Amino acid sequence: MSEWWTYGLRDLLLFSQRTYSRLFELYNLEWWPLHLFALALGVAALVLWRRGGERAGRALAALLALGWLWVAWAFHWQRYASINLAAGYFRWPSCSRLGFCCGRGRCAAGSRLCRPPGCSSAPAWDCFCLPC
Amino acid sequence: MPMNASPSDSSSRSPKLLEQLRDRIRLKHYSLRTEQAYVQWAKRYIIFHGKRHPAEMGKAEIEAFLTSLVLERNVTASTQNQALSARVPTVLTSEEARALFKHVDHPLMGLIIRLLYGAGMRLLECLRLRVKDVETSPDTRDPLGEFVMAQPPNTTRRRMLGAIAAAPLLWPAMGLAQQARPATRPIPSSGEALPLVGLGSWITFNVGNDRAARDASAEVMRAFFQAGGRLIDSSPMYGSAQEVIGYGRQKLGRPADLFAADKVWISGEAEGRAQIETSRRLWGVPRLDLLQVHNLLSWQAHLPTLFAMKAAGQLRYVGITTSHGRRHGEMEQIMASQPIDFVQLSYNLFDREVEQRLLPLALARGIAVIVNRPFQQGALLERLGRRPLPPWAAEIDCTSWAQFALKFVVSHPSVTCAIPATTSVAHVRENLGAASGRLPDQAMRGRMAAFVAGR
Repeated sequence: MSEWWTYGLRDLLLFSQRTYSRLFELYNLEWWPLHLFALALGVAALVLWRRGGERAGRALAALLALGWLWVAWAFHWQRYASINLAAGYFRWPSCSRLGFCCGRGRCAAGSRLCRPPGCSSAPAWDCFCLPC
Repeated sequence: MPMNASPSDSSSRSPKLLEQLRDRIRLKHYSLRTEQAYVQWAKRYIIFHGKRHPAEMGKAEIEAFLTSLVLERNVTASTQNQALSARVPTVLTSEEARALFKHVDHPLMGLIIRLLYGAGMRLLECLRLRVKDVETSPDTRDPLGEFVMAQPPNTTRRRMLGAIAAAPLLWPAMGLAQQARPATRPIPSSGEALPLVGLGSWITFNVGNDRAARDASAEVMRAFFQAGGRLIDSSPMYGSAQEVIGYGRQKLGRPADLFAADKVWISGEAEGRAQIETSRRLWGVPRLDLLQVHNLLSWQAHLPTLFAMKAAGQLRYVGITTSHGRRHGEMEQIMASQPIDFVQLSYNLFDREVEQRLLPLALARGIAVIVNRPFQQGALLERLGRRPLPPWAAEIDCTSWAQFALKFVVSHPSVTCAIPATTSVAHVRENLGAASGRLPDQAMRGRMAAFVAGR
C-alpha cells in the first residue's frame, strides 16, 4: 500500500482511549493482590542491583526475564491482542528482552561485572510487569 | 343471531328486543363497534322480513336475507359473514397471510395488522392496547411466524398478545411505535430496501474481551434495530469488532432484520477464503449478506471468489471499499468493469470529491453506495459544533449537527446508506432519526454545503 504515509496517526487508531484504559483496569482487577508480590520483587531487584556480584547479577537477570515473560503473556497475549492485531507480535520483542536479560546475566557472571549494563535501567519497572 | 326474545307484536317490541340484544352483547364484553354492528344487522334483518320477530324465523329466513344482500346490494362474502355472526372472517391462507405481512413495510402498521389477524382483535381494541394488557409469561414466547399461523384454539387473546409482543422479531416494531421508521433506498441490483442509515463498527465495537463493554455494544445494536436499522458493517481489520457484533446478535436473539456487511482484507485467494469463513463464524450468521474487498487489497484475487460465492448462494452481494478519499482511480476502473453490487467510500460535508465521478458512475452503473466516515471520525462534528445549528435546519427536520451531516450525505441520489459508528445509544437513535423526516433537495444541499464552508 503505497499511500500508507498519507494516513494520520488518528486514522490508524484501532481502539478508543477508553478501551485501552479498560485493559489496565481489568488486568489490575484480575491479578490483585499479585501487585504486592510484584512490588516485593521490584524491591528485591533494587537490592540485587545495589549489591552487585556474580550471583546477584544472575538473580537480577532472572527476575527481569521473568518480568518480561509475564508482560508477553499476561498483557500482550492475553489482553492487548484482543483489540490490536499487532499486539500478538509484541510478545516476541518482550521475549527477546527476556533472552537479552538472560544473556546479560550470564555475561555479567562470566566477567564479574557488578551491575550488568543491559539490566541496569529501570529494573524495578521490568519486574513490576506493568506494560506501560 | 343471538336473539332469544319471546314472539309477540314485533312493531311494538322491536326496541325492547334490541335493548335485550345490547344487554347481551355488553354482558359478553364485546366492543362498542361490535355492538353497533350487531344491532344494525338485527334491525335490517327484522325490517327485511316485514318486522317479524326473529324467534319466529329460522334457517330459511336467514338464507333469504343473506341471498338478498348478494343479489340486491352486492355485498362481499365477508360482509355476509359479519351479518351472519360478526365473527372474524377466515379469508386468507397461511401463505397469503405471510405474503401480506411481508409487504407491510411500516413496522407499526405491521404490528397492528399482525395483532388484528393473529389475535382476532377489532381495530379500536388494537389501537387502545396498552402494555398492561399484554401477558408475557415465558410459555407464550413463540416465534411470531409459528404463532400467527397456528394459534391454538383455546388460546386467549391476552395470551396471544403476549406471544406476539414477546416475539423477538417484533420488539423493534414495538419500539418504533414511538418514532418514525427510517426512510429506505433500494439496492439497485436487487431492489431490496435498505434504511438510509446503518451502523459502522470501526473503533467503537473493538472492545476486546471486556464483558461490560460488549454488553454496552449490544445495547447500541438493540437501539439500532429498535429504531429500524438493518445494515451493520465490519471488517477483519477492526480487531474484535466482528466478535463483539456476533455477541450482540446472539444476545438480542438474532434479529432477523440484520443485514451483515463485512470485508475481506488479506492478500491471496486461499487466505481470503479462510478469512471469510472466520468472519462468518465470528458474526455467527449462516451467511454474510455483503462482502467487500477492503481497501481494494488483492481485489483481483478476491472478486472471483466473491462472485462464485454469490452464484452459489453463499453470499448475497459483492462490493469493494476505499476510505479517506484514496485509490479512487482504481475504484472507478473496477466499478466500470466488474459486476459489483456495492461500493463503499468516504463522503461528508467536507470531503466531496466523490461527487465528481464516483457517485455519478455508481448511479449510472446501478451500484449501491455505502458511505463511511460521514462525520470524519468525529472531527467534522467537533468542527461544526463550534457554531449553532442554523434555524433553517428545522426545514429538513434536523435537531443536531449529526443529523445535519447525515442528511446531507444520504440525500445524494447515489447514496444507499451511510454507516456512522458510535458507542452511544442516544447517538444511534439520533443517527437513525436523520433517515426520517424531510430530506434536503438540491437547493438545500447547496445551502448546507455553503454554510459549513463559511460562505
